[in-house]
Amino acid sequence: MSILEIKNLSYKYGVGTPFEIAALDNINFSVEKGEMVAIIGHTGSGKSTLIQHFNALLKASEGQVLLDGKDINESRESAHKARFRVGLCFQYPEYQLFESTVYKDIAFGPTNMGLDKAEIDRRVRKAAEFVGLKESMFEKSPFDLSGGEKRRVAIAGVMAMEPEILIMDEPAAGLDPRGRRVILDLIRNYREKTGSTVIIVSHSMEDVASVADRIIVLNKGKVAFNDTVDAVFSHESELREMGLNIPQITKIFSELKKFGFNLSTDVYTVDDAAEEILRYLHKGGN
Amino acid sequence: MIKDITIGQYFPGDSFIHKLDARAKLIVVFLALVEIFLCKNFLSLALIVIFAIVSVAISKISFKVVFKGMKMIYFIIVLTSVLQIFYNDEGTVLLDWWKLKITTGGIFTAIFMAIRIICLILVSSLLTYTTSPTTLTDGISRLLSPLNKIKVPVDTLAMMMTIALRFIPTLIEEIDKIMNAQKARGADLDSGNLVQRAKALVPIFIPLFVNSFRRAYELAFAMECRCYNGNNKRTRMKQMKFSWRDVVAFGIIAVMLAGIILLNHFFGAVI
Amino acid sequence: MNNESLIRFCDVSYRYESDNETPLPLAIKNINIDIKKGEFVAILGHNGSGKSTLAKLSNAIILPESGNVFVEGMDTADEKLEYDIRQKVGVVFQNPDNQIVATIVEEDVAFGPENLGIEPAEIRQRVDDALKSVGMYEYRLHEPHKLSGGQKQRVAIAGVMAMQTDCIVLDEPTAMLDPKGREEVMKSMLRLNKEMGKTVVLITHYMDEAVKADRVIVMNSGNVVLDGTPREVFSHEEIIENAGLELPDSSKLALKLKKNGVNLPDGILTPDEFIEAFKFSLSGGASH
Repeated sequence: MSILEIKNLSYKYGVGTPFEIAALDNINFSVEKGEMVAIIGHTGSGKSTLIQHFNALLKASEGQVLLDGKDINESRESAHKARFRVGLCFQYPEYQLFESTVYKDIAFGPTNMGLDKAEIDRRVRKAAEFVGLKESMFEKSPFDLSGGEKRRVAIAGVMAMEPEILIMDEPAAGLDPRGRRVILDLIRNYREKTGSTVIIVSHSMEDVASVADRIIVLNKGKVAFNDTVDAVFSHESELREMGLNIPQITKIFSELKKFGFNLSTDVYTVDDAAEEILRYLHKGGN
Repeated sequence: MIKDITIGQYFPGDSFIHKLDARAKLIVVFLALVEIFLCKNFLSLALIVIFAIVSVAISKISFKVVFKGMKMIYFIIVLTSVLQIFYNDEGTVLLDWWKLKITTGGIFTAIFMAIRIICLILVSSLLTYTTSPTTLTDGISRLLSPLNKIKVPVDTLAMMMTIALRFIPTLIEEIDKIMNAQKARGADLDSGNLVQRAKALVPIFIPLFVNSFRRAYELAFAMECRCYNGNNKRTRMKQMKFSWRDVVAFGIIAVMLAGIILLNHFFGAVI
Repeated sequence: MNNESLIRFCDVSYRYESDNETPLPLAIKNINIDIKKGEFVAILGHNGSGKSTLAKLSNAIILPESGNVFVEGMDTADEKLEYDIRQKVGVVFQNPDNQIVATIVEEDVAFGPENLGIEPAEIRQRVDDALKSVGMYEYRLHEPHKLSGGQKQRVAIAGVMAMQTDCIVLDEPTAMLDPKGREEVMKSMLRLNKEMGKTVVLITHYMDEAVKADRVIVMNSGNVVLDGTPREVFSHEEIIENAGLELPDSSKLALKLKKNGVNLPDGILTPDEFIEAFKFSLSGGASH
């Protein structure tokens, strides 16, 4: 059974006013346990609205969100519990830090769960380790840290709840190339170590291509594609029309294929690409 | 929802009322409000009602929008009117039960008050519907500019006002975002006693303040880059010029004043 | 493009103020950069490399600790020239929300000229021209907070254009935008440079944006480590990586293949260039 299932979900803003807009329109998909799924769409495609349904922050106008087969809006209690089972880390999470120390800020979620002190401590330390924060930073004020460090503290704050599903909204937004790589690596590492289900929301194909198993493309509140990375990238012109780009490597490979080079197209990193080309050249009898 | 409030919103347009000079509009609205209070009987009030309805019609803002904007205030209107019913005990007694007494006088006063409040809101919200907040602030600051002579920094205050108006929607959005983020970490904002609820606001307000300071800092840089320093002699792109329209508006409001005084005088006061 | 200097950094050092006793290290160390009139310069560097400090130094928002910054020969340290300097060099910042002052697009664009005390009719003309130059004229009566990120940023650019500055410095203008917004802003920048002859200094960490510049300067821990055309600069893979940056994937792939004996030319920057070069190489055109 899928860990998360979205059934006929629609969401409307301003119901009953002349400004009624369907932000989400009949969304259907499911996510398997342990999967790493990317939700892609440009600003305004509805992706941020969509993920807020997964932990009951928003309630769908129509349709259901099933967690382990059960509707999360079944009762007030199940909706509240969904907050802990589905950890949602918003865009620019560093702007939500508030505690006097890094430790306390990471502990905020677990404390709200009503856990005992020892368990909170264990979780804070483990989450800090995942994001690469040293113990020497625990007593610092989060406001004294650098931008990248703040972001990692905020991410740890969500990881410390040890959610079954971790959702990251634009985790690498606004960071420089090295910062981006650090964040994406730590998410990959977190998933490998914990086996958790992870959903990454982004508008950058480059960021998700190398980490996601599957891509769900959202456009104008509807699911446009829901397929493997490779299959989604094959729709280059449609993606372009949706205001999305495809990674340079993919562009090169699909172009070369058009010219009759028999290359595999499921490569997204420079290293894999180089290997594939070299393999082709050796075999091609050049 | 906070987002549904339309009072204070601006609807761009190019009607007669939109084109009135902001200063003239401010004075006319002020006079209209005074006139609403001067009305002593239903005839003079009718004059105001006609004035208000015609103004809205001329402004081309749909009545639907205008009345929707008043939604939040219906409660106040009803409450004030109901209180009037019991406050006034003149005229024929219609109902006398325990300590409650309803009289024709009470009913009349209640209706009178309701109409009066609706007119007040109609006229004053028409001001904000048809004038951009910046123009409005501009108009206020120019009307108050004589105060510059007694060292009141009118222009600086007006700039502060403009910036406040500009950032209100941004801050509302930000509060929304922070609240959702903290809820996602299990913050409980809607239950518990007063102390618990107050405590639950800490995770909202600290980030809000920190972010606002950061914004203010960045905004100050950006304004400096565009040569603002708080005491330059600024010019304005939108010139304020009185036109024939303003004369017409003043004429109407003066005629109305005369009409109200006459109607009050010849037909007596009911209130 | 000519050889006249517009912004000149001469041995400039700068240090941010510390909250406590111990002073912070220098953010900018003895930098010498000469930006010429009409150039499109990209300044690259990781967060904290000092590149954003350059933006604030360029129009007297902050002053060097040592050394001088000259804008058309005017020293930014001369307080009397502050206004003249800011009319030459305008700055657009990263967060579009925090640099828009007014509640209506056109009124925001008018803010700069109004501060300069320009005649109303002329402001109107400038505002209309500026909005047209970034393709935002139809939005002149909109409320800024309802625009997309890319649109807001273009309004901010128009705000600087309306001051008729010769040079526009953009401090990571696309960092908070999605691909579509980035493309819009990039188009506006290129138009200002190529069609209107404005000097553009783009501070960024996006390589694909820097590729479109005439000249690229790479900063690392307060120093200039590379300065040249995109092709020259991007051939130094190691220095770029040490500066916490990454080459465009097309360049990386080309370099990697070259190392493995594939015959490709130097200085490949875009997917199209790679494809051309690769096909040419395989057709035997370049075989030795």
